[in-house]
Amino acid sequence: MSGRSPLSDNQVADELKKMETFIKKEADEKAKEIRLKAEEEYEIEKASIVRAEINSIDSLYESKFKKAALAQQITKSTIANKTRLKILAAREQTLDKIFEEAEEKLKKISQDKKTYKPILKSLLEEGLLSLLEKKVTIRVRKNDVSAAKEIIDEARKDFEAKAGFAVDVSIDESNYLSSEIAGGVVVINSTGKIEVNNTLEERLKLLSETALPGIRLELFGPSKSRKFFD
Amino acid sequence: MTIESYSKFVIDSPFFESLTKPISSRPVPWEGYARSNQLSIDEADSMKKLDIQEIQEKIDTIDSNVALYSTKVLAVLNKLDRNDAIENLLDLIAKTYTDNNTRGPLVLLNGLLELNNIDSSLPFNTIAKFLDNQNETIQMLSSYDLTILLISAPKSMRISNDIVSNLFQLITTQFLVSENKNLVFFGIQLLKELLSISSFRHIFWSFQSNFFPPLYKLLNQNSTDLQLRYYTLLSIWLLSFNKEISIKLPELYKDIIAKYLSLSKDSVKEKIVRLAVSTLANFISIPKNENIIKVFLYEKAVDIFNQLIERKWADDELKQDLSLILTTLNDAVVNLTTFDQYEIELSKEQFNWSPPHKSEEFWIENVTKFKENNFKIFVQLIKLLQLSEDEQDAIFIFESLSKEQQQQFTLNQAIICHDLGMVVKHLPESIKFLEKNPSLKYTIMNLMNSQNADVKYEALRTTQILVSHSFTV
Repeated sequence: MSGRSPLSDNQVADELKKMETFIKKEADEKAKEIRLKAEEEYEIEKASIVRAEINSIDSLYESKFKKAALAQQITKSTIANKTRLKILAAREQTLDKIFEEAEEKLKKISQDKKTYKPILKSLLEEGLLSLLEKKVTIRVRKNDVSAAKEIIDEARKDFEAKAGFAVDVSIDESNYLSSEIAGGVVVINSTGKIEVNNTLEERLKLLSETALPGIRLELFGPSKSRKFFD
Repeated sequence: MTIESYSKFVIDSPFFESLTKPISSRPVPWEGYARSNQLSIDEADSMKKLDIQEIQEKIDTIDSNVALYSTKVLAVLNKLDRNDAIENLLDLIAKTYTDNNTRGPLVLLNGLLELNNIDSSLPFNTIAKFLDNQNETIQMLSSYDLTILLISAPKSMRISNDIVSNLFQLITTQFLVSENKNLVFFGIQLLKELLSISSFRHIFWSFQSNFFPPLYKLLNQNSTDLQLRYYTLLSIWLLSFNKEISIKLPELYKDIIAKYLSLSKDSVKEKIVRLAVSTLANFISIPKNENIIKVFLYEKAVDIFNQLIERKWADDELKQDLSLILTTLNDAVVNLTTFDQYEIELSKEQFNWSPPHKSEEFWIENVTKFKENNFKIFVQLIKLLQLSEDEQDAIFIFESLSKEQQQQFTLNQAIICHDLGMVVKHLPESIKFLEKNPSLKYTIMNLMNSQNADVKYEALRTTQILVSHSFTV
């Protein structure tokens, strides 16, 4: 700064003031830039945080929703299942009851000699026809022995007519059927190895199996969900 | 409702001050207007009360009944078509805000903004009416008033886009292009204030074909006005905060990056460099924007920034921005250095000093590719060195090329020589190949006699490598 006359105090003060104003102005400008940049960064940060939170809330909601839907599904199907099982159990109970009652009624049949004898004869004939042996033994209840003796001949005659050969039938009097059962006859072959169980109980059992579908249909109507019918 | 984050916007314009200074001392015949039924008696009364000289008293009077005075001011502005009254009231709004020695400078401003709750066109539409007034003082006053109202309005206030775009239009198409430098300086200050609001930036950009060119022109003027340049850069910097603008700007104004790079490099003042670099940082920070990086690299940004980062800067943000840009550029260079790029250049027969050529790693990784197919690429390169086998022919063909083609050809030669040198350096087998085909070697060595200094230099270096390796092989 050579070549300038020395400054008076006033001039110095002036210059200082000018410098001060200048520095302040520069600082203000930088401060403003900082503020603007900060605001911008704040906006960006805020936006990304908001976005992230929205996403996490969305996914949280979705997983909760899915869980709830699943739980609801499970409950629904559990209840449906339970109800179905209840229905099936009730049905089964009804069917069982029918057969129980039938079994009770069976016991009454054998008490009426008039109806029972032809039944016994048919049972015996059936047994003979299924064995197709020349010699068989039959077992009956103790109190059926007399009835059995009465119908044996008739059965044998009918058998011979149908089968073409004669059969020799003997009653096993050492081994009676339990007197608890409703009646019927067990036809055994000569070696004792093949048995045809034609007791009333057995017949009921067979019947219950074969008649079950029909009874079911009759009582409960056709099954709505059944797909295969062969 | 009060003004949030208050920071006062005072215009730095002696011109504006000189225009507006006499206004407050000019008497306005309020009673006269009342008598001629242009104003109601109430209105004239209120205005008379405000006709006090001292700013502080004016403010205190307004403060005694803000709603009343705000309403009356706007009502008069709406009704009265007399310039003296208009100037007086617009000036009132401006002065109560800017005066530094008063308590409560926001009183009138807040009052006016409150009126927006009653009628959403207030107070902006009333003031905006004067933007296209014949009287320049009124234009300047109303644009200033509108600006301070707009920037002080709370974010929740709904402001009509038309108001903002009309103001931008006035600023960019009138003020910024005016012959009167003072008006330009005035306008750019309004602009930088308005652009600090993000939604206004959107509005500005939606009319960018009209609004941006005048702003851009200011940048390209080599005027010595530092502050003007600073405010222009500030405005564009603010615009670059918006992602879409940052993407579109370099696309629409292709030389903007070159301009900013030269500003960064050549400006004396740190604050100019600071803003230029920060704007460039905004441009380059758009993710997945390869094109812009290519432009940067093309304009030799890496060198420029390497130089810049060496200089001593006082500003922390500037230093951060510089290193950010450099890292981004360097990463991009690594990504762009692929053999595919090289092949593209080869197929187009247009070479330039793109990243693959200069990067050592590129050569180390890819040199085996040159060996493939019996040195196919190697031979291809050498063939490109000459226009024809015959020397006379070659000269003839060269002369017949356009200037551009000639330049490209010599550039090709230089680059190919360099590349061949690189291949030889990293792949000694190529030397054996060259020995078997001496004509190829001859071509390279011939280029040492080339007219072009670059070609000479590269040919010399390559020959040097050839010779040094021949002895070791």
